[in-house]
Amino acid sequence: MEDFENRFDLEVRSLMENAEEDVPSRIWDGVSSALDRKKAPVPAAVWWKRAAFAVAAAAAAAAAVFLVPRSTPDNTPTPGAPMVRTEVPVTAAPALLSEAVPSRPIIVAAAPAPAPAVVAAETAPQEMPSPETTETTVTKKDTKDQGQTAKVPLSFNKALFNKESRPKDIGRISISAGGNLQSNGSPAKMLTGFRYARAKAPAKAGITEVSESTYGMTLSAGIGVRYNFNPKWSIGTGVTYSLLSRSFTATYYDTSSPDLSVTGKTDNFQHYIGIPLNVYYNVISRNAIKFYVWGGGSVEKGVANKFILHDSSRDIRLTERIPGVQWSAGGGLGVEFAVAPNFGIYLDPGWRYYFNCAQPNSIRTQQPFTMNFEIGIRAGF
Amino acid sequence: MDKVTEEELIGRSIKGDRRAQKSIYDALSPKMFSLCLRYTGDRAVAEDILQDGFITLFGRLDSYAGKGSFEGWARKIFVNTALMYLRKTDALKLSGDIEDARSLDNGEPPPGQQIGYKELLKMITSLEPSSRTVFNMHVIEGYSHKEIADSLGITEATSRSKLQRARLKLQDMIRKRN
Repeated sequence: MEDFENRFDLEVRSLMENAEEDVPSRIWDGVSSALDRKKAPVPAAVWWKRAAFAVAAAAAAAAAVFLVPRSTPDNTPTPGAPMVRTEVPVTAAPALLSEAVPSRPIIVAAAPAPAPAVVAAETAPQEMPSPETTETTVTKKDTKDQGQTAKVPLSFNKALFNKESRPKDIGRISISAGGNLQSNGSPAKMLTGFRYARAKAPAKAGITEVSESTYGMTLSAGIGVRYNFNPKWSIGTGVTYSLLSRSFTATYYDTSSPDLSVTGKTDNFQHYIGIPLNVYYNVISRNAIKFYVWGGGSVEKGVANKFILHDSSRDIRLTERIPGVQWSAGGGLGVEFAVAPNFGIYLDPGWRYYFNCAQPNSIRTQQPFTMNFEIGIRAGF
Repeated sequence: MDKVTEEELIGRSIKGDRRAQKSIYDALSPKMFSLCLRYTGDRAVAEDILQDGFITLFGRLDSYAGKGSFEGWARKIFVNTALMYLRKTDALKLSGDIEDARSLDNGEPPPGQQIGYKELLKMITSLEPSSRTVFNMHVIEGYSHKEIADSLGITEATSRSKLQRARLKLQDMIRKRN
């Protein structure tokens, strides 16, 4: 019986093993195009347009929040109700005022948001603010004005854009912590989706990509320190962690058994630790808001390149080292909103270019010019 | 392909020489297309697998060490690409019908020599996908049952059973055709 089967197998093999079929010419066209796509980068102009749109949107959102007059009762005195007042700059914010020992009450117009502002304390008799002004009674320690009551009208918008900015910025150090989302190449799926792209180069772990890669957005987080040379210029550095991810179908060739392989959906995670160095220039600096531009470079070291190949029977996990470092240069705009005297929230939309440093396949190698959006908190000393 | 020419073509292809890549493609594609058809039974799908296989092959050319035949090395890539497709479409899910099948050896000569390539291809592609895959891998590509079991995530006994059923089915079809 075995002989019969062997002879049958041999006859079938001799017929089929070297059989040939006519191949349609379009197959080569497809192969050739795919090989070309591996080389051709996405036009940079497209990315400039996308980045410009995103920055414009961010700026418009910030302007809408802080520049458009509120429809709620205005805290500014009505024109028909002038008042005589002497402004005494008080750099302490409401939070600090509340900590002071109350010696006399001061009536302060309530601000619609807890933004820090220069409070104008009136020491002389004055007329009452307009009836629309909402008032809240607070107390403030002031030895000069003991026993007196003052009404301090506050205009939120005026206070925000009081040009007397933070004089203490010079020599000031601030620390920040934030997160960063980086584009993955798909404007239609910028927040949640992936970008499809060919990336066929084999990795050293024995993984060979046999399908399109889908790239997740790069996630980063970090802490930093910033030193103000003067009211305009500052320099910042820190430590960042970045996670790059992508998915594709891959074939794993086991080097100890090269005759067979396992193919399946594969997740790839790359972990990087980086040190950025940026220079900041304050374009507009007010008490509660700052607009600035920034630019600089970063060096990142890949600490792990992990693959998880999902096979029907088991997951194959591979980790390889990432040699070398990734250099990049970036720049962008930024806005910082003060929510307390020494505490602010910042938004830094920007662009970054990743230089070719022979790093593993990722969205950075596929699309080296990316847009990123960083958000974080900053505390000053 | 001539051995010297083959080495030259591979070297130039690794460097991205499109003409060298086309030469390799021209030499391999008719056989590899036949292989893809055997595994899928569908011409359009086979074309996709052929294309993906060549993209993989050119992306991985630098890992070909020159030991063993280049065609044999390439054949493994196309088999793996075809298996990947079959997995994606769940075509390799077992039917559960894996009982041992009896041989039809009745003393007559094996029926394989009585049929041509086109007809045999049609019969092979009409087999149930998992049996067809095991048959192709073992009989034509020469994989062992252990290798097939590892690759498909089945037991060696299941691989043997699938093979035997495929053989019997084919022999039956050939006899009926005669």
